[in-house]
Amino acid sequence: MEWRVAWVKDGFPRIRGPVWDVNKRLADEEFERKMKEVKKDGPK
Amino acid sequence: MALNRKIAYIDLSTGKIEIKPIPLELRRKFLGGRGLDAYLLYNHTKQGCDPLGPDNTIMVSGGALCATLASATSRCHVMAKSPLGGMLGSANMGGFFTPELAWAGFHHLVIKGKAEKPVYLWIHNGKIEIRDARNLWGKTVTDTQWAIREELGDDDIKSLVIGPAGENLVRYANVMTGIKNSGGRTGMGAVMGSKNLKAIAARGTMDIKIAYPKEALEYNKRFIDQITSAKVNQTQGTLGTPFIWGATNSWGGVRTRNFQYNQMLYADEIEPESIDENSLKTIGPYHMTGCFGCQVHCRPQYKIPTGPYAGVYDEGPEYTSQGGMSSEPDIPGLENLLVCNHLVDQWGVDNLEIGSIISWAMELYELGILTNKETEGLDLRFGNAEAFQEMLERICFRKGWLGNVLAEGGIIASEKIGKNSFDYLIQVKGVSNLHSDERATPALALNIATASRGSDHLRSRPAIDLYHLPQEVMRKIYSSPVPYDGPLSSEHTEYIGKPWQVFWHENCYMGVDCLGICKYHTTFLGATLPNFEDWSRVLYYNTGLELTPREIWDAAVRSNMMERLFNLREGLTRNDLKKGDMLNHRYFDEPCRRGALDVVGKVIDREKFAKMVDELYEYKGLDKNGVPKPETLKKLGLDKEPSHLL
Repeated sequence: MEWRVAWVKDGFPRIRGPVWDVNKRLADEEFERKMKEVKKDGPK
Repeated sequence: MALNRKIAYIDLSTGKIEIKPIPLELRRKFLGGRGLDAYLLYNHTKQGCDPLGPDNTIMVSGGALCATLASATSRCHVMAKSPLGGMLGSANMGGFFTPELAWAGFHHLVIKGKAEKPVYLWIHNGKIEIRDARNLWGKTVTDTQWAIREELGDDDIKSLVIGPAGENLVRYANVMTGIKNSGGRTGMGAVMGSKNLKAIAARGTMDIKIAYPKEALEYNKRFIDQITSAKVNQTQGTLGTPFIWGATNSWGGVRTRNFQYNQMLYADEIEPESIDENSLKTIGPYHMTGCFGCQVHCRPQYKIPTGPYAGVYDEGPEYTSQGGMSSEPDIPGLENLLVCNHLVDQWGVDNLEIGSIISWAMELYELGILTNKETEGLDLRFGNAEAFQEMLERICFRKGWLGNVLAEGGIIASEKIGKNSFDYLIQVKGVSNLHSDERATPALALNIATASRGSDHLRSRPAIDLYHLPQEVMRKIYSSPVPYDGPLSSEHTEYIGKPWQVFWHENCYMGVDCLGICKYHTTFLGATLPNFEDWSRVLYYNTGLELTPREIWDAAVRSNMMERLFNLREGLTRNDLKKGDMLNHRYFDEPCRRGALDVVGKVIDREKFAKMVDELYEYKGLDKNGVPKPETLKKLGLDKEPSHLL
């Protein structure tokens, strides 16, 4: 099965299969980085 | 003419029915549909009345363009005081009912009192009859409609009905028509149930004279081109509204596990393409259907593919079912989504509200605030499809302590459950939030906090804010029909200019709710879709009522103010968590953990949020407390309400 975004535009690349692990890893890393910044600088 | 349809006042306690014309003076002020309903609600409902008592008045209406040659104008509006939050109750649905009501001679019904036994209304070519509905009581949504057709011997009858949830006074029960057209949000089905009113059936063959038929048809061709050429509507016509959930979940704008997360992981089975594939397999290639006079056809048909309900037909699921049944309780299976969508359609209950309430209970269970004692042994953890479906049934039929308590809605339930359960209830004005997560989108957060019927995406949501539209496009949209030269930002995480966008969309959506047009035919999701200038012409060609785009805007502003006045009368206070324009603390305190990198870590800034509310109040002519200034009411001609003109 083909997944997501193809409906945006004809010829737009379709993503196949689960991308969730990559998605989760990137979000976890970003969250950790941003929370460290908040801790260091105080809430903005 | 199209606007000669009548208004009927029906007292179910006495059986008295009074029919009156609708003065053009009131059409000019409130147009019809939701706007005129708001005027009627304010004038005909006593302050502080019990929403489930005989003094509550329920309005049912079509818009001013209903049953004309204009596209997608079949929206049906239902309004009363809400049993869910005790504030404004309002529900809006598509389908085929209101054109039939108009052909039967009526645009508005005003129903009060309570029948001694279950009844239904039979409306046929100018006549209204109150009929015995004891044989219908207990029937599901579709069985009720077929039973009425059989009893009256006419398969073309269209009915608005309640299911078992409405009969059982579940405070977020829907009014339904067709298989799945749902008048959801704020419990209008419970108000019908409280009046022993099972259904309203209509059949009409009375002509509707179009003012300028040639021009109306020609303009409608342009309208159709505009509507069908928009990419968003082509996608809606292919995948239905599930595409909205899919797109939103991709970037992290969907709430999961009752707001603990903003993205549902491993959601492959409930992605729009997966739902579409099931429809293709179980129905065939032409599986999209639509409402009266609409070219978009955004509603998939399907059969449940597996399990105990295998082979059962239904329509949808809408994105709200994906949210309520899948992402909020974190249940990834397609079968669960399709079964739950079917059950809420048949029992007549708000998919968003019941999904949110059960998900809230799931979080309380995992926190130990609810235990096996209250759940009577049900393992109410996130992800448990069996437990979710069991709770659906317990709530709709008020089974067991927890089912009965959750049927009362979040605020009453939190008082009964106690401890700090209210802190976890994601609601505004007693209405659970949509499945979307607005922490990364201040404009959308402002929308749900200030929407008149409680947290709601269809009242003032500037959804196109997510498209990062070029400044010149935004300027064109938001500077008409009233001039605006203030700031506008293409960035959806910004706070600048958002109050004007929310104000503009509030009036845009009220305008189409008064005319009866579906929001998918507006700038709700597509920047190129019809706007005030188009509605002015369509209204004139079809009905002969000549209003400038600015006058339609003014009628929308006035109608929104009527709703505000009603809410203020029922206790709205700006920062009140239960009755105010305020968000749950989690929006401000708990950062988004998932999604696109610009979404991760986002919260709503309290100070900036308060400034946005201040600015929105200024545009609306309200003081700092959210109360209209005397000059605002005078300008809108509302300084003498309640007026009882109609």
